[in-house]
Amino acid sequence: MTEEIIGTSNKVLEVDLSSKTWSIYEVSRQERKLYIGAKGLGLKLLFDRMKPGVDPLGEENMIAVMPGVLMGTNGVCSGRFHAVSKSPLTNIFNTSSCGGPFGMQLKTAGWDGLIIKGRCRTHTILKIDKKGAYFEDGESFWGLDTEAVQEKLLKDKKEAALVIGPAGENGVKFANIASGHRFLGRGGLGAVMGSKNLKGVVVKGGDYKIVPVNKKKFDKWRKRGQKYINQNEMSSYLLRNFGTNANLNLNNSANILPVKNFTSGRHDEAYKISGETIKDVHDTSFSTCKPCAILCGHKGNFKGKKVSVPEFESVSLLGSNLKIFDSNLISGFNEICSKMGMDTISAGGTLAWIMEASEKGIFESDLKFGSPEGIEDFLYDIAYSRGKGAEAALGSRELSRKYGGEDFAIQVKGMEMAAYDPRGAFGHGLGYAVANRGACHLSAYVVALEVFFGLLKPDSVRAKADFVKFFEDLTCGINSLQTCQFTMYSYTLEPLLSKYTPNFILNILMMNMPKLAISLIDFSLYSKIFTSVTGIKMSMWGFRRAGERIHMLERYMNTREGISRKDDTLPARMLEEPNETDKDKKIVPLEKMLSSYYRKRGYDSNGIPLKTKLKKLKIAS
Amino acid sequence: MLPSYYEFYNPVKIISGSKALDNIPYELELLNAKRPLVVTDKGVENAGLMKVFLDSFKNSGIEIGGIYSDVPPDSSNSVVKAIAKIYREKECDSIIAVGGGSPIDTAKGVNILVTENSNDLMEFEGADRLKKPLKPFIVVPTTAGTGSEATLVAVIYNEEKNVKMEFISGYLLPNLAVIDPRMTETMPPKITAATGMDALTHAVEAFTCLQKNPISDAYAFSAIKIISHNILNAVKNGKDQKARLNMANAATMAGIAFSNSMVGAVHALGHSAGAVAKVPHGVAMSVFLPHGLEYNLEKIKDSLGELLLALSGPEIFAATPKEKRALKFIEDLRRLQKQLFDEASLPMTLKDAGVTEDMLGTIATKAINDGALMMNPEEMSHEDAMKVLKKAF
Amino acid sequence: MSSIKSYKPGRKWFKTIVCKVVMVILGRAFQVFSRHDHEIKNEIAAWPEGFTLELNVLPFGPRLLILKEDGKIRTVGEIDEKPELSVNFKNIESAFLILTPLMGVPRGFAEHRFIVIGDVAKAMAFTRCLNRILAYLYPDFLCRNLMRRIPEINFMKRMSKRLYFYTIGIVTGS
Repeated sequence: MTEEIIGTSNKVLEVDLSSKTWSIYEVSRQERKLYIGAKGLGLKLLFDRMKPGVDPLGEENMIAVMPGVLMGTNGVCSGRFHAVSKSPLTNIFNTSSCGGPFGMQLKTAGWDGLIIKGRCRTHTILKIDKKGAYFEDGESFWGLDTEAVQEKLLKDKKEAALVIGPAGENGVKFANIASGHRFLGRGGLGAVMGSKNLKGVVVKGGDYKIVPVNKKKFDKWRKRGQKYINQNEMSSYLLRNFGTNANLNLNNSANILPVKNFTSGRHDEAYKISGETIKDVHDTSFSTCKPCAILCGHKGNFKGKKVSVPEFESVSLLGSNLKIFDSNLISGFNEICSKMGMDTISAGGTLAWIMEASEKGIFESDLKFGSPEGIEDFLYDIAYSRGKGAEAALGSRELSRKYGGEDFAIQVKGMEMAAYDPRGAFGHGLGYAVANRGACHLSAYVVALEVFFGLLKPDSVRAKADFVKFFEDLTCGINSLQTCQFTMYSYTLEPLLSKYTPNFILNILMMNMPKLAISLIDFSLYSKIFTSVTGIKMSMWGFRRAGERIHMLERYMNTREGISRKDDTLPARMLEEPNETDKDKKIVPLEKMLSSYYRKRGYDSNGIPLKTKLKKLKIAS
Repeated sequence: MLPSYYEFYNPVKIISGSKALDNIPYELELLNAKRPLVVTDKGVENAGLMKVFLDSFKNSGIEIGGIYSDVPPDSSNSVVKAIAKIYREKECDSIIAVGGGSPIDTAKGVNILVTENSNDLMEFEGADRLKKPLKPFIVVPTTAGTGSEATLVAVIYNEEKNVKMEFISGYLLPNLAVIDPRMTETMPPKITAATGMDALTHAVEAFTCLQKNPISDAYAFSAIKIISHNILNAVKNGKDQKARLNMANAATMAGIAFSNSMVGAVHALGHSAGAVAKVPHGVAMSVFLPHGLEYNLEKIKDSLGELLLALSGPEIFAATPKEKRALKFIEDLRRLQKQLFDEASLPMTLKDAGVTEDMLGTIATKAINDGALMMNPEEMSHEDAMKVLKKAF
Repeated sequence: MSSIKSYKPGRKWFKTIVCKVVMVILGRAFQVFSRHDHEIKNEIAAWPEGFTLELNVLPFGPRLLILKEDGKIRTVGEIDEKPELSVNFKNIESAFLILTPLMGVPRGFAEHRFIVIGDVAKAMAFTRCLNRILAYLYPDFLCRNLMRRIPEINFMKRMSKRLYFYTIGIVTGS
């Protein structure tokens, strides 16, 4: 008989690998209200536990794996959880989201979070159930790829795992953590787990049923969310049919697709790897996070095998950015990255740097743009840190520091840039520069407004700071709730006011009166859902404030690690050279937007959060 | 029913029957030609057909300017250029193509180059780009399937640009098609079955697709009748001269029919399966024909029903109620397919034909971009194509 | 005694003007719907940058030229080089039939009313686009004559885009 948890269990399991002990931390109602859950709560817990300057691969670093308040409630698109840790790639805090099955099982084992501390002396598997944690010898699993190890580890349907592949074991700085066929992708969390000698975490769940405090209200909001998603073209048509790859054609026609290490924004062959073509050619079917209403994840038939369709970022960074336009090849690279446990964006960005550097003669390698030869072997070399691969495993920032060519290392704060060229979407460029974890496209994702919906003028600096800030706050909230970030399109655009106002009026309003426009955006569904699950009263504005608090906390934690204005920048290529296919020769006017953004955020001119602001947000007293 | 407008064109003189080959020298003189260049492929040579062909020139006084027997299975630009060079060097004045689709298309390409005195086929790509009659051109078909001897199209692969060039012009039609049973009697059963089904598909699609007209209908109808009576005999007993001659005639008639009324979805799918998975054209036609007809069924019920008379004979036609005739046609077609599978192991599914499941998407993508779909009675989207392909798999 | 006179044929001005007007509207519609309809967008995505397409009535025109530039479709007046894809109506009567629209593209092609020069695959893509554009422009009873199957477009979407095109799109072209 399954027991019920009303709202949240508020129990976080703290495991110390060094001493092989565990304890339970009880999350207070105040913490829940201020930091919601998942990303926010994870950051807060690490903020309380870690002092600045910790070595990301040392014993003192911790990983917090946090399902949000929605996980387990069967809420719309609630199958996602977060992990927070200090990243070896960027040396600052990193948060990463994943749609694998681990979150659900952890939550239904009665845990609202898991904090992993310390380091094992030998290779270990951590097992968790509703009673606590157990440590098992992991020697026989060490060296296995992410697929094989999960197959060997998981015996029961109620079990789910977090595992690393060879890349994580060998300390590749952009190694990731896998759960099922999905990944805690960015920022090298796999290397952190590897440094702790932890090959995998297995959790057995299904012991508790998560019941919202106000079931009736929750069902109502759930249905509304479902309705909005099904009405919205982006979520119910583009993402559902073509996955994230629906972006590829959009980016290509807007000249913001990375081609040849971001030297061009467009290529005539790009349509061959678009979501639309992949759907047709590879006969795709759904394979999504659970539960999900958008259904953006797909499997397809590649070279006779049913494998996950590479996401848009993987397709462009491992494809167009290397001038490769063959979906079978890209799927092959993607599969290697998946099995080895590496982030495809960083791997692709690093490969592109290597190709350009060897073209320019500053790095010796046989890899060439447009030629698939040697890429597969090189990816393995990276994962096993062999030969040149060992250097590539450090990421493009370290490579360019060593060999020169920093101007074409397309990274911010050490994290390689995702597949939207900011020279054709200035707001998105600001988003990259100020995102907490590095060149992260999901932090604000203003490109959706600028290019996909045409609501903001992409090549103008107007109103960009306002919208970057607003969406950063909102996504922090969403990622703490946690629900899928793609619900953002439908939950904000489908409410009556934004749905029935003609686009050109929205456009004028947003460009000229951003404050007013933002105040009219209705995203109350998120806060309503939060309240119905937890019973904690929260308004739409309270929700946004919580998001702002979470963003600010992460910024504050990072500034303690040495981040300041000098790091909030873009690669020289984005600031100085226009891309080759751009007739208007645009470059990103970052400085103009940055100061305005700092003011709105409450940072000083050097990008450090103001004391008063921290106090106001109840981050520091 | 008459279409509101149609065109029909077929100036090809056909000579058919026993010892037809031996009339070629006389016909060449009528065409005012004395030194023909012969274009053929290895298959024809290895089957010993060249000997039969050349023997027919004995005692004729005609000198053959040159014989090119290395045409690859896919006619290509470079081969066309090479042959044109030989034609000029040997001072030939006419062309004879001996073989199946590939030598015939190649010879058509050569004819364009030598007549226009050019070295670049690209100049003439597309519809109606030729403005004057070409050199005397004779075709001796050896496959009884493609019907290329009666078509005004040539498809030639351009290696440099990696594209297929299509040439469409009334001038590409040969002056003479020579049907001699000796030229097809060495064909092995499987190929006989495949080419026979190819011809059947031409005729059925010509009769059911959008450009159908009364004259092409007449050719198509007769072709189907002849094929249904003879295909099994020709497969079972290759030496049956009568069956061979009948099949070769039917193929030419089907060629005339579809040259004037075009083909549809079955061909679109077949071309694509050939391009992606190297399925031989005849095999692909045989596999797709029933599925393609089933897909179009709603739109072609009446015309397909009429064809039951040709395929299954008057007794069955009369015994089947009008609205069930189209379905009965498909049923009987499947039976024929099964018999050919038993007799000659002609594949019935794509899987047997060597297609793997991951190719289907690519085949469908190519198929919906194939020009043949334009004349298909029913619209076909990628999704529809996938459904048909999965059924045929 | 018979008199021998030469005959210099005149022009069919009315039909020429009608064809020109329809071509302008079609061009506008292609430009507008290529920005609003995902399927059309997807077809166009496969065309290379700088791709040109013409609809032309032999021998004197009128003519419609369409260009893909900056990832978008737009109509243009004149270009220097030969268009990559040409749809040539054999005479003004044929063009009138198809453009007005009394006859669909498949029927027109079956009746040899026009010839296509260029890549057939792109021509097929263009007819798929045209089907959708016509479905937006005309009501069902007209569309039924023009195409083999009316594309499935959500009724509300079809109506609202039609309204949008005839009021705003046709003027602004975007």
